[in-house]
Amino acid sequence: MSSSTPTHPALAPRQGAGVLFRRLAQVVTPGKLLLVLCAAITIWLAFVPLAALLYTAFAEDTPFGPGAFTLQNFADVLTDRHLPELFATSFIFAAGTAAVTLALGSLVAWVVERTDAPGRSFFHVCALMSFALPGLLTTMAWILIFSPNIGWLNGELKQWFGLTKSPVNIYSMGGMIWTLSSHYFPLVYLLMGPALRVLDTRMEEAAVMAGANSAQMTVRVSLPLLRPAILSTILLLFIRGIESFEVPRLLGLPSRIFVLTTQIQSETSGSPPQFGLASAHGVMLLLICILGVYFYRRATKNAEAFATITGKGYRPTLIQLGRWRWPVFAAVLLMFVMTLGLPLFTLVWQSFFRNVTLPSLSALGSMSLASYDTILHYPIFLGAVKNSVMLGAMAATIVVLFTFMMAWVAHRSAKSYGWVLDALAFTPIAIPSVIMGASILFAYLIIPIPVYNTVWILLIAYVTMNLPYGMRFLSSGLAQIHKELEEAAQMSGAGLFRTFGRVLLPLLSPVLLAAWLYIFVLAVRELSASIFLSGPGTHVLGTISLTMWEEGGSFGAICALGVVQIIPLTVIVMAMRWLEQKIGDR
Amino acid sequence: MFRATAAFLMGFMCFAGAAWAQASVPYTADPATLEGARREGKLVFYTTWIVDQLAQPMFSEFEKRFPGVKVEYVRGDSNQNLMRLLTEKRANATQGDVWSLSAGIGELHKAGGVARLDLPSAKEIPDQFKDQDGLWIATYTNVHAPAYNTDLVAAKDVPRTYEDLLDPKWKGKLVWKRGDLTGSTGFIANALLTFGEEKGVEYLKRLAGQNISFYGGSVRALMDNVIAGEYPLGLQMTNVHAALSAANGAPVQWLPISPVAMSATSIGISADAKHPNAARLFVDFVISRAGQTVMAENGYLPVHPGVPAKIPSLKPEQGGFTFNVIRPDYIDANQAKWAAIEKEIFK
Repeated sequence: MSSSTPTHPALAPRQGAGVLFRRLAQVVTPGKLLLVLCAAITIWLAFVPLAALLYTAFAEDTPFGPGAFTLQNFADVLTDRHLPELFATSFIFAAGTAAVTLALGSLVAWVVERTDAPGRSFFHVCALMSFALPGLLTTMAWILIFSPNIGWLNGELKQWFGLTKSPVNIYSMGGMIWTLSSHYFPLVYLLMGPALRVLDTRMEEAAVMAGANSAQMTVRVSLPLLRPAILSTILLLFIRGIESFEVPRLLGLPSRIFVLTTQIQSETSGSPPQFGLASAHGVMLLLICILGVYFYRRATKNAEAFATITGKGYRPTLIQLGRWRWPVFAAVLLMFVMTLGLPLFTLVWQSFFRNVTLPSLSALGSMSLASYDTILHYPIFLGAVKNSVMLGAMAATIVVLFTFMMAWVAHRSAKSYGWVLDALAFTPIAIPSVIMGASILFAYLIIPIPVYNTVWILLIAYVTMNLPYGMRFLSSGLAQIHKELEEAAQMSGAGLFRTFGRVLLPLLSPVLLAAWLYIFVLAVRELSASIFLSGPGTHVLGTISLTMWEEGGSFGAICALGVVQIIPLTVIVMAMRWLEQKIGDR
Repeated sequence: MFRATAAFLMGFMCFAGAAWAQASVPYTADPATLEGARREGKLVFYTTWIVDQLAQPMFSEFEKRFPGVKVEYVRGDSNQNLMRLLTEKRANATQGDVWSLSAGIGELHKAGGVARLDLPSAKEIPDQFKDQDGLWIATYTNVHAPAYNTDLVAAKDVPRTYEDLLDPKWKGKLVWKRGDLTGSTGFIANALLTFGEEKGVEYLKRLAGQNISFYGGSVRALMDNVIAGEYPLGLQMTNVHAALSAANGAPVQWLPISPVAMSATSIGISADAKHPNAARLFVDFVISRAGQTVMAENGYLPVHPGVPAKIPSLKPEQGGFTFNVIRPDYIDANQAKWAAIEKEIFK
């Protein structure tokens, strides 16, 4: 497969190659080759964990791994009297998170991308920082803020308003939704931002010219145009909510609120572990996700209607807020203070104390840097940082380029089979990471590719686990670009890869960057699968964070670990923003 | 007054004695094993040991005594280590030479993954801390008992018996780690051993009425939460954690409600170990008087009868409390039953 392979029959080599080759070249276009290649790689990546999931779900649990075929696991799951409650709480949690997150995230996306409000680059970095904070630590921070017993803000509120009871209880469904939303809304920003940026304002202007007021314009023009992006976002948020684990584990369990993931976790980590039951629950999770993808594809069937980047020149203009500039700035700032400021402040404050210490002036005197000393002198810490950053960057690059090709195949060259690729790319999301880790471990132990106990096995896992996210970013991004641009390139004689390189990639660069960052951050934070795959000498940040958290003994050290992790991530996020603006200026 | 001073002096002498001992506790390796270990150059240890509290001090002492034999390690909890070992065994690609596990040794043995130990230092370890067939040997013991926040619980309210925990005043104030031997499962096991099957289940049903909170992190992290005041009293906590934190000024105290549950963290060698001599040398060192002294120095409860704990009252003999030993083979035989009871009674 080379870039000189012709796409158009007229461009086929006229001499030097036999008739057979010419025929072959007419049938085997680069598009089809790509389809086969993408399908093969995706099938392989998704097949390994999926096969393990199904195999364990339909097999008896024995001490030596999966045993004889059985339907007992499903019978157990379906006859469990807690099942309706389990589904209901999972659904409320995921849907609630999707709603709150969408509201918060679209506000930021709209302000940063479409208005001339001040401080937009600052908000951009803030948004990514809230996402870069490891989930375990944000959740812990929210406990220190709003626990009914030890939450410092609860204490302050009680004092200010003379209350006898704490006004907020973080160990509740509301607390879980808020905590996860405050953590995930940057995801909305990442997904919606690029879509808003390239939204052709002339359509909105046309609506205004035709007499629409701004509310009508939003409802009748802007929102429908953004439908693929919005639906993609809701789908992803819902699924992230359904499969999120740290928040229900730390906030739900104490109040005995169970969701599918905490159920799966307690099954895989119990004594003895029940992998059969956990896998059967995992299959349920997978079915929910497949249903989601199905509805998404139905809702965005006529993708061309959403293509706002067409051959006609466009230049999105910013909305002039006028005297609303500063009020809008203040509103967004307040939101960031609430969602990022509070937990970040709490983490930084607590990192200077060993035991839980409420913020107060009198405590300033006993601050110490001991926690940072512990972290930096922690054996294998620096090695783990290096491994994680390197793996994150590689995984992000591979996933972005690969899902770009996949999205292109799914949406352009083989539209009728595209949903298969979409669905395949989605399967990893529903597989409990424990099963993911263990199945990858087993697969590459029996296949004679020597990756076990090296960083490469981690890379395979990270790529597999992030395929769904890459696919969501790239699919919705591609849906916005009208294919007439590619057709024009091809008519002018450009081969497929030239079209990619000169037309699609530059147009998609905001989406590519957003996806890259997102995957990078997720990979750096990854924990559950890494536990099985990191070997001696290939420790990663996720595994040592968990180890340190489990070792406990100091709240300060854990918080310091969070602060130390945020710094390099912030630098990278800022560098990416700079790069993005450079591309934008070009 | 005199008694307090005497106790202090005794404690101090044990402390000083242990410190003095570490510098000079001799250990002589079997020459053939040592030579083999030097040839192999390293060993791979899949460990449950807490990295900075135990793994690092032990590894550096070992590497200092035997230059040229390196310890490489992966840290995971017992289930994770077991899964790794079983998977490696199934794929016929064993990488872990030495492992530490708290349960599942029986499974690994049935899969053919456990080497029989015949170590010179094992002779000094009491029978209750080792397998009669030599599949495993304990490295340190854990005492699991309740611990409470001394700022939140008044002296007169402190529970002294298991019956006291059923008092209505504790409703909504108890917490345990869910589904784990260092948590609810271990508590259930101990209740059945203490009261017998029938009465034990009856007791647990009444206890369930107290609406115990579940905690999803490690038992050490739960201890930090008790100290912070999030929960007044944690069930099935580890007494060493409480003692170490209290020594640093944390408001926490553990409760030797007899009989406490006592478990052992065991160590063993893989049947297909790639570095068998280095593995043998390491395990023998860990259970020797010298290795056990490193254990004690870092706050753990040694199994070697000749090595006192850093805080003697944490061990039953000196602390004056009784215990039920929950051995790895006993866990393997009963854990499915405990899990079923937990699911039935506590959701």
